[in-house]
Amino acid sequence: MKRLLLLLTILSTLILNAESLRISAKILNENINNYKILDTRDNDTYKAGHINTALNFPISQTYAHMQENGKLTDPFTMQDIVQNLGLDANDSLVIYDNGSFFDAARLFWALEVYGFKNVKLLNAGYKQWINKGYKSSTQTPTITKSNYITIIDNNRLATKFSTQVATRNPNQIIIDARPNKAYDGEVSSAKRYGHIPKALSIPASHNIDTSLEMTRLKDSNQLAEIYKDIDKNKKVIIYCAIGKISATNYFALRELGYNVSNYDASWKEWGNSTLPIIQPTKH
Amino acid sequence: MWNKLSIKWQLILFMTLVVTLVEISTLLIILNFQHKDSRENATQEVTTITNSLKKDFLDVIFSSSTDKLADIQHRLRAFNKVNGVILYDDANKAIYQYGKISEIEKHKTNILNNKSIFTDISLFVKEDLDLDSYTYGYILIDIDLVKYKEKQALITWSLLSMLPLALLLGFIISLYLSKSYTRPFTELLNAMKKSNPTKGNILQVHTSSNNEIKELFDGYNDLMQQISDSSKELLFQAQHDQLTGIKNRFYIENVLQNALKNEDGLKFSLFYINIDQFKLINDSAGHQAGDELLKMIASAYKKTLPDNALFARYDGDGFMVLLQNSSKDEGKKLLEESRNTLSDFRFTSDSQSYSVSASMGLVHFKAYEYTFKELIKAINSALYTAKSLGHNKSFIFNPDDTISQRFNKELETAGFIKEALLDGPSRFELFAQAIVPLQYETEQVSYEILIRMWDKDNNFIPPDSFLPTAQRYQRMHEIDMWVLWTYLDTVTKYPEHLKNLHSAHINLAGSSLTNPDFQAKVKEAVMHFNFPWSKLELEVTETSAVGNFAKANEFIVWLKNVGIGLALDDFGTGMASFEYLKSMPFDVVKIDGSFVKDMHTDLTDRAVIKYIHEIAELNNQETVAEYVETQEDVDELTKIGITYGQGYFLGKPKPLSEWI
Repeated sequence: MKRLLLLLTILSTLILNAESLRISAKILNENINNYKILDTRDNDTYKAGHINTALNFPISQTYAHMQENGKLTDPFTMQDIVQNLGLDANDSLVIYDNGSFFDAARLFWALEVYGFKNVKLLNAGYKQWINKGYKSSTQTPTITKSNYITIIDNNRLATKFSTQVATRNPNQIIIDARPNKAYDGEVSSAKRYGHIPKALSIPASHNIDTSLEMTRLKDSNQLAEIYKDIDKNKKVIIYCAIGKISATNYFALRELGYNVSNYDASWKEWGNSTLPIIQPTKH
Repeated sequence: MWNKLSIKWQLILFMTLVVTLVEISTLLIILNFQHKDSRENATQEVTTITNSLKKDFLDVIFSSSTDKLADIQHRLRAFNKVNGVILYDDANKAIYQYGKISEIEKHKTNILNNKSIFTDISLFVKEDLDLDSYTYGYILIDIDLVKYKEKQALITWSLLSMLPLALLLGFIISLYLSKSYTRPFTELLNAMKKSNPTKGNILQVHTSSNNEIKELFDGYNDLMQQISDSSKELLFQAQHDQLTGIKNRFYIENVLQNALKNEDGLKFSLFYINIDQFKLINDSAGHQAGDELLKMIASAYKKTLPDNALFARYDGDGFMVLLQNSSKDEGKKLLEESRNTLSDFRFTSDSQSYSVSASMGLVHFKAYEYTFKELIKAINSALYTAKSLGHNKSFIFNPDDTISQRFNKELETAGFIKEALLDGPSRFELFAQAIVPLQYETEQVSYEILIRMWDKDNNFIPPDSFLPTAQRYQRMHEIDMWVLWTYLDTVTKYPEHLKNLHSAHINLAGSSLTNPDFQAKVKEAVMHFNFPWSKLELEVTETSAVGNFAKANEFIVWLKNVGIGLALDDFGTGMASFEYLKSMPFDVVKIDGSFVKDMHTDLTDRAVIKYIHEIAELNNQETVAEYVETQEDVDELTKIGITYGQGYFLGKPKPLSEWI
């Protein structure tokens, strides 16, 4: 009975957490003036029509080298972008994309790394917003430049160093978000094959719901099921091949209430280094 | 205020003040050190941080990356006193922040100007990031001083919490000190309060110290002993008679006063013993002999007294004995024994032997029966009654006794006499009674001056009532002086009267004749008044003439030379023989009235008158017959040949003023 109660409590907490990081279109519409809304779509799409008052933060701007890997934009560039969007680390932000949540999750992570504390995802794509008949616009709002100074929250960003620490620390968990083949060392985005020692394999694709007309991040209930074996009290580091798709896992775990950081250089860095790896195929 | 506090409290307050001052100054010093120390530590911390992170900061300025910043953040976290950091590049552009930067931004201008500033809770420092003497940027850093402040507060509170402890300790120490250092004073004070050195109660103080306290204590003990010794001596002197060594009047009066207040219902017997004719011995053998006699009597009589008897010298020749808790029988027994002891005390001085006796009065009394004054009056009365009975007599005072009452009255009378001699209100007045020549007729007058007295309420007091009292109180010579002087003073103002005067008789007590004051006064009067001295006759009674004449011989010769005559008064009543008439220089003999009164019926009396007259005539002395009350008396006395007659028939006494 006690266990059941405990479970219920945990579940309800999870649901609450889940809701706290995703905001429904209805609630945003009602409180639209309390939030700064960020549109992750490219500038042309943005200009063609966006949620009223939304600013454009094209997802490409979160990448240092978008074509090569998932590394975050460098601090100088990011500080300028953020200042030019008139954003402050304490602002309440709502991010939306086309409805897949991939880009929105990426920007969510990027902003959290750069010290933003009140960031949420709109639990809908632009299309759904329009379908519900909420207000949209083609105008870019007037922006006053902010005084944002770069902050880095290293709890949200894993580096090679902190990942090394995690490989030895029993209180930390490493999750490999690449497909099973990559984890098993059959394919690799780097010179070496295999995975980071101690890493568990939970491919990012598990987070994705492909049953709908458009692939998108699963609901938090579904996500909770996926990560049910992961200890909530332990710090989680998540990585993928080049650091692009692990942001989805990052948001999923954040939504579930984990203390999670994303190793953005990912296997591309680790696999090309001389750091120890697990090479299952050799066995 | 401070002076009123006891030494103990002065010490305690003083110690408390010292402890508090020490505590507070310690606190201030430590806090000051701590303050400096914490600033130094904070400054040190800044240096450490910038030194250890300088390269990384420079690296970031040159080429920033999230990884580098994550690293820096990681390392900054290790310095838990760092509240916040802002990194600026050489273009003064903030490029990185860590932690809480709102305070830095608030004080930014100030920090930039002063390089480092302290606020209550923070140390702000601007640290340049230079390399090879070129500055590439700088950081503004906020170091938390709250922890130092907390440390300071901790020190403050621990020291403050020690304050009560220190005060308590100070209090205990002062208590101990005050106890051990004021103990001598309190001991001394206590000893002083409890001691009564004048009564011989001394509480000695002792100390184991060997310093000023010992000197003080020894000094105190000596002083107390001295006071006690000299008090004892003084007390002895105050209570004892110097001559005889027995207790004195002061002492016995004290005892009597206490006895009268005694609550135990004890019975007492008080004796008053007076040596008979002490004055005679004193005058004839000298004062030294008199003193010797007193000493010997006191010493000898004391031996016969029971142990519990209190024996004291009360006045010149008077002693008192107090028997405590004695029955009347015991008292009477002792009275009788004492009278026997003192009936024939042999005393020799200058080879002349005296037999001395004493008279004594006794009063039985209980507490509250008399006042002290009444008791003294009673015992006086008893003694004088005894004395009036003759030598070596005793008398027990009885409050109901008529004799005693009389002597009570006598005491009162003595008071009146004293007053009359001075300014009143009792007074004397001079009367005169005619002395009439029987053998011839003459125009000239003769009289005997008589004294009359009235008390303060103008009651007449007869001479036979106050004169014996005056005699017992030894005031006779004063009365005689008064009478003589007043008479002379009165009549010398009337020369006609003096011319017509044949003779004036003035009575003298025998004791007056020998009294030096009286003698001097008479000589003074002779010088002072213009009076025909041959007309003055001084009358002396037969009883008082005996004994006194021998001693007054010189004075009598002088009187004779001046022309003053002497008359022998009341002749025939005493034991005096006719021999006196022959041997003593009387000019006039006054025959006692008792013979005259009965001479018609008693032939013996008539014969006595006749013989006295014949012998007087042979001695060339005139005679006066008293109590002449009828013509028959006059006829008979004239027939016998008596020179003068005196009595109611010939003239009642009338005021002197009526004679002038």
